[in-house]
This record gives sequence, C-alpha cells and structure tokens, in this order.
Amino acid sequence: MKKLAIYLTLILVAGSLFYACDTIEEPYYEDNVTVWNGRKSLILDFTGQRCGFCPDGHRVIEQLQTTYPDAVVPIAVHCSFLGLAVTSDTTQPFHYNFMDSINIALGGDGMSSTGHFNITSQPVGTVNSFSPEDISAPGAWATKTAGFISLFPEFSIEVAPTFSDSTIQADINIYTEIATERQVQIVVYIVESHIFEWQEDYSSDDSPIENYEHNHVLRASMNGTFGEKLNTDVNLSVGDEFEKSYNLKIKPSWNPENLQIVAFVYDNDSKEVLQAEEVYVKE
Amino acid sequence: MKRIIRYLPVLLVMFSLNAFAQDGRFTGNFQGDFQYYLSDSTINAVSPDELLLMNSYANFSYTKGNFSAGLRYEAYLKTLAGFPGEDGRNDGLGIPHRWAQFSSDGFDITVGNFYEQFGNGFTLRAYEEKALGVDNSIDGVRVKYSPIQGVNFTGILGKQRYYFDYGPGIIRGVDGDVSINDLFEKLQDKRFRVIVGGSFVSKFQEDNDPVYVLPENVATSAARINLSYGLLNFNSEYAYKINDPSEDNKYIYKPGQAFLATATYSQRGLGLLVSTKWVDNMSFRSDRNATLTDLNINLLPEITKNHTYTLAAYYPYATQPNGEWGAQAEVMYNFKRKSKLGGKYGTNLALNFSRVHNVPRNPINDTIPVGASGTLGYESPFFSIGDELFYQDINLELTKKISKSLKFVLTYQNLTLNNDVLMQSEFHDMIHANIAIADVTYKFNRKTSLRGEFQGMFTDDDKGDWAMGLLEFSIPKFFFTVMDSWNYGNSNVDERYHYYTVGLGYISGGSRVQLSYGKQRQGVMCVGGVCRTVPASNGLMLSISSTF
Repeated sequence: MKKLAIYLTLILVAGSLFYACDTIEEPYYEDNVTVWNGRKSLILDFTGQRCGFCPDGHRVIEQLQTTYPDAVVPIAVHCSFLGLAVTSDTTQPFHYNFMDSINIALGGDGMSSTGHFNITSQPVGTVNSFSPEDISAPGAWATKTAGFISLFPEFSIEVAPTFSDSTIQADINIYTEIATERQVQIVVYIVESHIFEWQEDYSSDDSPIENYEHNHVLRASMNGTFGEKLNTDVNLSVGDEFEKSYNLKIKPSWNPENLQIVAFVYDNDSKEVLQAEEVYVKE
Repeated sequence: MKRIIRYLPVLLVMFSLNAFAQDGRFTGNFQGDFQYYLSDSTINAVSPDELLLMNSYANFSYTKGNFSAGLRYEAYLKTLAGFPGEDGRNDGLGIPHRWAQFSSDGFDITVGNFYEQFGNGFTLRAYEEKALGVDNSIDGVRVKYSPIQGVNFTGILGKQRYYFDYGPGIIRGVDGDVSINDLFEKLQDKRFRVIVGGSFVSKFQEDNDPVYVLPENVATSAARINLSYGLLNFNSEYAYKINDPSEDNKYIYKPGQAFLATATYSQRGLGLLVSTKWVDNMSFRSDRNATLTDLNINLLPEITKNHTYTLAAYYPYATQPNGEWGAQAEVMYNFKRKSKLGGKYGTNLALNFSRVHNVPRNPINDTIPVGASGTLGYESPFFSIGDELFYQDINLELTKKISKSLKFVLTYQNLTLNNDVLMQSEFHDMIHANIAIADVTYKFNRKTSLRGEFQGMFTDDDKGDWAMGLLEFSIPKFFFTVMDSWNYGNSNVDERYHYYTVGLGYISGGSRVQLSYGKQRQGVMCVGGVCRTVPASNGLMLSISSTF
C-alpha cells in the first residue's frame, strides 16, 4: 500500500510537469507591435511644382518615413501639366525645370506625351507598384505601406556607390531571400534632395512658396525607364545572386552631395515592386 | 546580507563536519594555474593590464556512512585568457559550489550544487569541464529513488550556476529507467536484456520581451531504450523539445528533435562501434539569450572522435545544435602476441570514421524565408540529410610495443571540414588536411624514459602546413619538456612562426608542479563536443595540483 502511494505520487508529479509547458500559437508577436521584416516600400509620388495639393503627398511621405524609418523609399516624379516650368525668367515663380526625359517617360507632360503612368490629375502615386492600374491618392499610401511592412523581402539589394570625375558608378548586388518563380526587372534611378525652389501649396497662406524644399526629385535612370531583365531562368532559389554595374555622368546643375541612387526590382507580370534600396552617391 | 544567506548552509555543513570528523573521511584537491603574459605582436598575443592571471579551485568533501558533503572554493583573479567569462563575468572568488547528500530507505537526497545527466544528455546534462571553463551545475534539490531493484527515478529542481551567480531560469526535471529483466523473475537470467527509460525537463523563464510572445515554460522530453545480447549492445534515444525561441535559433518557434542510435560489440581483442545522430533545433538553455558555453541545460553527444595530439586536434569538430546529421564507425583490433602481425608484445589497431552533414531546411510557405525570426522558421523532415558536408574524419591509430624499452603509437588522419560552418579561422570554404603522427617512448629503465612526438599536418588550405615536435624526458620525480609547433607552410612567408615551449615538472605523490615558458598559437579547444577559442599567448605558466 505504501509502495502504491509512492508510485501514485511519482506519477502525479511527472504528470503535472507535463503540463508545465507553453506552446505558443501564431501570432508570435505581442499586440500592437509592428515588426519590420526588411521589405521596403517604394513610393512613386507623381507631383508637380504648380500642383497646390501635391505637398499633401509630400507630407504623407514624411510621416511614413517617421513611422517606419528605413522602410520607405520615395521618388518624386515631377510630371504632367502641373509639373512643367512656365517661364525661363529666373526671377519669376515656377521657372525651374524639374522634368527630365525620365519624368516624362513615366508620368507624361500633360500634353503630347502620356508616359507609362499617364498622369492626368495630381497628387497621385503608387506604393510598391509599377502598374498604372495601382495609382491612388496620397490618403491611401499609409494603409498600403502598412500592408508591406511585416512582409519578408523576396530579394535584398546592396548598392555600392562610387563617384569620381562627375560620374556615378553603382555596383549592385541582388540576393534571392525566398525561392520564387518570377521574371524580375532591375531599375536604377538617380534622385536629388534639398532643392529649394517654388512650390504651390494650398495649405499655406503664403502660397506659392519660394524656397520650398523638394526632396527625392527624380533626375535620371541609369538603365532605362523600365530598367533591364534581371534573370533569364524564372526559377529563383534562395541564395541566387545577381551583380549589376552601371555608370552615369551627372549634369552640372545637380549637387552630388544630395544625389541618391535608388535601385528596385519588380515583377514583370504583376508589376509589383518586390524590394527597393537607396544610398547616397557620396557616402 | 544576500551573501551571508548564501553561505549559511556552507557554515552549517562545516560545523556539522566538525562534529562528525572523528571517524569519517575527508578528501580534497587543489588546482592552480597561473600565467604571466608577455606581449608578442608577431603572433597577436597581448598582455592584460594585470600581467599575471590565475584560475584556481579547491574541492573539499567529507564522507561518513551514507552521508557526504562538500564544497569548492574557486578564485579567478583574473580569469585566464580564452576562458568563458574572461570579460569580467567569471572574475572573483568565493564558494559557488557546496552540497550535502545522504541516502536512506531507497532515497538518495542531494541539496545544494549537483551534476546530473539524463540518458544521453539530450534533455539534461549538468556537468563541469574545468579545462574549458564550463560549469553548469544546478543549485537546488535532487531526489533519487529506487523502490525496487531495476527501477530508478530521479527528480531535480533548481537554478543553474552562471559564473558566481545564477541564470535567470528555473529547471525542473524527472527521469526514470526500468530494467525489464530485473522486474520479472523469469527474465532475470536471460542473455537478452532490456532497459527502457524516459526523461522530462522543463525550464521556466519570465517573458518580458516587448516584441515576441515567448513561452515561459519550455519542455524537452525523451525516451530511450537499451538492448543487449551477450557482447552486443544497442542504445537509442529520441528527444522532442517544444517551441523555444532563443538567441541560438534566432527566435523561431519550431519544435526541436534529436535522435541517437549506437550499436557496439566487444570481445577480447575486438571492439566495434556504429553510431548515428540526427539533431534539429535542440539547443536548450536556462536563459534564452545565453550563448557559447553559458547555461546549457542539455549537451548533445558528439559523433566524432575527440583527438588529443596537438595537430590532430588542430581542427576539432563542434556539435551544431541547430542541425546536423552524423555517423561514426570504429573498429579496434588487437593482434595477439606472438602472431605474425602481433609480434612479441601484440599490436593494437584502431580505425575510426566519422562524417557530419547539414540537415536540409525547407521554407514553411512562399512568403517567409527560411529561418526568419518570429515565425515557425522552416521545416525539416525527421532524419533528413542534406548535401552539405560539415566534417569528415578518417583516422587510423597503431599502437605497438617493439621491446621492453621501446613503444610507439602511429596515427594517420585524413580530415575535411567546412570552415564556413565551423569557423575556426578566417579561412573560407573547405579545409582538407592530412595528418601523420609518431609517438615514440623509450624507457631507459623503470623510472627513466624519453618520449618524442613527431607530428605533421599537410594542407593547401587555411594557414598551410604545420610541423610539431615534442621531447619529454622523465626521471624519478621530475620531467622536462621541449616543444615546437612550426607553421612552415604558411603561404605568407612572414607568418611562418615557431610556437615553442620549454617546461619543467615535479611530481611527488599526489602533487604536481609544472613550470613552462613559451608561445601558444591561437586555436580552438574542444572537450566532449564543447569548444572554446584560445587566444595566442606568450608567457610563463605555472600549474600546481595536489590531492589528499
């Protein structure tokens, strides 16, 4: 009887220990925690210097950059009718020409050229998309960006810049993080920040503002409007790496201190931008 | 105050020892290692501010009848270079280890610090290895109970030692094994014997993480069996661990698994061993943020041979708890005396082969990369074996006595290791090496002998070829050693360094003093599947050990 009692005690002790473990079910994160897993959001902001509501879009981008540091890669595509300069007289507002050929190729000039995205009203933009079908107003960008934040990037991009003799060289390494079946396009643009020029801003009593700070202004592409094909075999395995190298001579009017290289990859079928990276030309 | 409370049991034990001391038995030992460091920029050896460092400890234990108690005084002022916690965590002095034990009525009870192993160590192995600076003893309560012959239970509960402090977790565990033959009278005399066993170990650690929802109670359980028939023995164990996100697995929630099967056959003059092991995500620590050798609750048994000769141990294998498959086979054969190959005194031959691969990892779905933190991580089918080679070791050892005065051991080793995984130096990719060693002992008379080791490692990889020579001359009470390791094949001609050491030792009864001077290369030292990096050093070393 004594032995039986001891056995029963042992079984009870062992049994209770078996309950002493916590199997956690998804989600594995605490409530209200947003975890950024490395997927960046490319925001194409189709803007214009004479577009009075466009600064709303700029402010949405600034807010997103504060909320998700490092996770937002903006490009200000000055385009369409409201993006054009109206005079060559530098004492007058809106004399500055923001629109290089790449801007027109993407957004159009509101007149003879429609561009890829055919921008007819501003401000509009896309978040992680190279498709005109995904254009939305700035009010939608935060929600769209939030949807990408916790996703894992399928690719990681490393950009190693060098700058000499007014020439930018970008050595780019694209690494496959998740196995996938896609035909991927690599695009490399140059943007410039801290350009102080005129901007219409309907939220300000002083509009138009003379020294408005224009950031992420699209200047040029290093490999064409739509870039180039990254892979020939659509089956990509984890660890598949691609190396690209591009050169571009800058224009005298650009300030190399404020130039950034923006590299991104998108799916040629769905036009989804899968990852983006930005680095200053002069680090 | 906390200190006083901590040492109170020690004082009580001491007082009670005093009372018992008349007819009990006291034993003890001391080990002290002192090193005076010199800077040597050529081999990257740096000297600490203190110049002289010391690792030392002394054990004292008392036994009387079914009662025993003991303590260990330890002093690290400061910790020798290359030992865990040399960053300051291990520096200090005190009595971090004390215990009392008694047995009565089938119970065996220990309070204080104890070491313990359940099965092969998959669920629990609290042990110490002073040469590596590892001591993960548990401070708590252990109860062993054997109600009848052939049935044993062990229960433990406590906190784990963390240098001179405790780890943050609490460990609870039970283990039991049953000898089937002992249980049934009919089976008692059978040649076929079966022992079954199981263990369950759970750890508790608070979840204060702001990001992850972490399991506070994490359990590992294992089942094992031992079958023997005459000289043939088979031992196998399977372990399963529930989700245990940790620094080791980069916070994935995948459960872990481990499996081991070993078959041995031994008779006079012949020994055979085949063994295989499969491990996935089985690191188990009482602090989920601990790394290296800190706070391990379990120890995954090694599947490769542990070499002791300097160049054979140059590239040791370290168990990869995050995933590995390994297999080992060993044959030991003794050619009898007076046979053709045995010669006058017999010849011993040991052939050992081991190979370790990765465990393949498949993504859990299309959107999550393999091993991503805060996810299930990956999938690995049980006992799946990957294509990536981690380590392979083929070695042959021949021991032969030529005459009463001459004896030698010849060793050949062919080694391949994946240094991208094992990272024992800055070299990337695979390292292929051939190693040959001759160990010759000549006895002038019963107490005077000269031993020489001649070792060569031949490789085109990493730092290239090495040669090593050692002479050890022993006379009664004294021994002298001269040693040199020479990296003569380094592709960088300026780094073809000599690492020489000269030493003098004195032995008297249970005491031994050794004084040596020389240079030590940077390296990796492993014991029982655990490794530590040893930095390059140059200096004077004094080692004293004594027992009573």
